[in-house]
Amino acid sequence: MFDSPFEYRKADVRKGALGNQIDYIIIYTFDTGKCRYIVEVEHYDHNFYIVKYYPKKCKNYKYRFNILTSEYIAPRIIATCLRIIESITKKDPAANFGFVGSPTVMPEMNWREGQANTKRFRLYKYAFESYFGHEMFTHYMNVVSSVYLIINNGFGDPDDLMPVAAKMFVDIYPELLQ
Amino acid sequence: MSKFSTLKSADLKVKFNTRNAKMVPLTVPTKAVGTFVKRTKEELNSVRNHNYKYLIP
Repeated sequence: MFDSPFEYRKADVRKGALGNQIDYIIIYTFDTGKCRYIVEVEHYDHNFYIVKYYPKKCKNYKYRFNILTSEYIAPRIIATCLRIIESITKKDPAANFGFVGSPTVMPEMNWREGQANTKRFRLYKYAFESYFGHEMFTHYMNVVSSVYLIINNGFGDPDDLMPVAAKMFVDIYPELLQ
Repeated sequence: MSKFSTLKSADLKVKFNTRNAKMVPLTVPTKAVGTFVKRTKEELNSVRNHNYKYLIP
């Protein structure tokens, strides 16, 4: 399902005045044939990387993380993000990762998906379960908020970092986690 | 300002299958709660698709 990634390239690294505890953002791009996608890998305190992606043509759109494009290439896009995560792990063996399964929004109908156990969360969770084992990472999930974290086993006890990471997520996404 | 700043999802030919999704009005604030649950090796082994090879073991 996730075995056909697109060819991606590193495009930029943004630093400074990013706020929200972000140290820097690594920008990757790839082309699907129909449009170009942007992958933003945000680096936070405690060596956490959060991976986000959206179509480049929607970069200024409020709901860029919440739309469905009807291209039916989600597995290939997710496969690309998995390979990006793999490449970061090779460069930074102490990396921790996480994602938020954003709810789908239909603004023209004034409806959105509930925050708990979203479609995206279920799909990304399936990918993380299948491609990232338990030797290098300890897996944690918050189904109610659709948040998933994998914490590196090689640099201290993951259970000690977990509460710190959870608090950090509350600070980063106050509307998401109370 | 970019022309995409006013882009509507209708412009992207969005289709959304609501069969498996719990839908709420957009005006309802997002306030999810919950705690992080540690996943055991046994649980991960039982739910993962073993046809896929680990990218990271």
